[in-house]
Amino acid sequence: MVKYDRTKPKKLKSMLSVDFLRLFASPLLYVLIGVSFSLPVLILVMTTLNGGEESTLIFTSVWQSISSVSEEGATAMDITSMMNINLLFFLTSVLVGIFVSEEFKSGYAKNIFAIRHKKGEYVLSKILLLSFSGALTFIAYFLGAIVGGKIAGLSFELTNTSVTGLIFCMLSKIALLPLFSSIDLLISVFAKQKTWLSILGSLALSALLFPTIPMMTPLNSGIINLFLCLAGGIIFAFCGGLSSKFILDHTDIV
Amino acid sequence: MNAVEIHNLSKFFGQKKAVSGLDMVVPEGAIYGFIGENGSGKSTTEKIICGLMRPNNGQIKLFGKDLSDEDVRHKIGCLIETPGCFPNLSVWQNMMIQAANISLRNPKEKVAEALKLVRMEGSASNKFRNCSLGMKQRVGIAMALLGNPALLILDEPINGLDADGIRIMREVLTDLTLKKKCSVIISSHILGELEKIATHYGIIRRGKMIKQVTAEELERECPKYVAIKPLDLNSAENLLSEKYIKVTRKDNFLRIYGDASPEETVNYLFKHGIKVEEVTTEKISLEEYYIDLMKKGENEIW
Ligand SMILES: Nc1ncnc2c1ncn2[C@@H]1O[C@H](COP(=O)(O)OP(=O)(O)O)[C@@H](O)[C@H]1O
Ligand SMILES: [Mg+2]
Repeated sequence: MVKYDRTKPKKLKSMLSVDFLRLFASPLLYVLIGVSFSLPVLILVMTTLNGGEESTLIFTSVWQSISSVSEEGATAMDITSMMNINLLFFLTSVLVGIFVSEEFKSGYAKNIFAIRHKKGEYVLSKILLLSFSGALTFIAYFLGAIVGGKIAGLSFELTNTSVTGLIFCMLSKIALLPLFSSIDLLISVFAKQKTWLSILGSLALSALLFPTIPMMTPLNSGIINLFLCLAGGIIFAFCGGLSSKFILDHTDIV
Repeated sequence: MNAVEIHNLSKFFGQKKAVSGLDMVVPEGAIYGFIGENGSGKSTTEKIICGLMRPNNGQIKLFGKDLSDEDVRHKIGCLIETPGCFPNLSVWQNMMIQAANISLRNPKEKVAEALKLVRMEGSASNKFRNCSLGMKQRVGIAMALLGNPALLILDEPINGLDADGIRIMREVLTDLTLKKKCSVIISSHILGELEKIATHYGIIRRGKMIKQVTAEELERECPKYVAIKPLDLNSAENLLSEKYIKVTRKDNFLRIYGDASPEETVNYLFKHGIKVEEVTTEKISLEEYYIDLMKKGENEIW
């Protein structure tokens, strides 16, 4: 009998190890973390240095660059509710678009799917990976906001909320990442080699969901917000993941 | 057991029939030369075998099992059109990714071995995008070979390879099938190379398998002839045509088919005052056989 050096696939584990190896070897991740860090620094410093008059002072507190307190957030979308951490969900769309289409363009997708019939692990691994890298950008942004706030001399006072509220706000946003990643992934496996289509499609769908983020994750979030976001994240990841798997199962890979 | 068994396979792209009603049998341990002109459906067939394209019709069995069987699929090694490598990663990183992909034991050792086999050990740290076409092709072959696949599918692997690369390829494939019982499907245009290693042939034309033969059958089917280089080509041709059934001219040589022996033909011409510079017995090559077959096919259709 012939001995094969190939062991039975450690399905998800081997998939994840490849994805993480690629993520950390790719300049993309570091560029996105850099962008996520500099974004709040630029936003906070530019808007406060500009003239210095009371009327142009858009941000009065550092935390406005993260989110707004629920009553304010429910009102119309002003500049502060646009120029905040939620922008990173768009950045995630770009990351997913580039990361996934690269797999189809390079032909790596052939290598994976030639030896795997089931597509579930691929999809799950991508959602986990992309949520993880999204979380890294959120942390980078948070640190950037603190640095930017220090430079701009903004107030660090938490009005109408507390440190717990801020922590739950950040955690809720991160919990939404699987939701966005799975939608972006769905578009990307549909677009395959077409990077432009996967980026534009993901951006468009993210834009549709964008207005709900401030309501779901205000600065004075509590355990309920986190729970809702987690539930939403998991349900969407599941449905989006199943749809991605369906597309991969029913279309040509190359 | 057969490594691959395909029955009545079809794949359409809109109106275009890339593969239509194709049958194919690749016995275990065979080196199956898959021959056909550009656009005849070789790559499409190979993609379907690898589960990368969904056929419109047909049954496929790999080692007697369904294509969706994970155990069988896990033993495929393939290089179809391009090696699936990330351009911004090094050759080594790309190989390690494939090693993880197939859950290889001792990945570092095995990757180093595979790179050494294709003489790429010195370029392991090169970024893949900086590799030449031939080097990329070698990496692709090394990748397909990782972890001893039971079924190896190579789509035009010789393209872009230099003479040394082709020789390595030949050695590796022969070694694999003999020692490791690997079954190989290899499509190529370079029939002269294929002829040296293939044990079976499948000839595809416009998405249909028009002929499947073993190398021995082909050997028997490929007629032998006496090639002769006379000083006076025209008179020699006339003379020989009177005595033998089929005489053709190629370059400065005359080919005498049938049961003629070299001594007999040379003596015959000598008696009639025609001197002969060279004489050999030869067999028509795979390439000539293929071209003949294609011509016949044309006539059948038009
Ligand atoms: N993805 C595709 N979409 C549309 N047509 C295709 C596609 N892939 C192959 N074809 C067509 O199918 C035919 C067979 O192609 P292919 O299998 O690549 O041929 P070969 O590998 O023998 O040169 C060609 O006419 C080609 O144009
Ligand atoms: Mg081809």
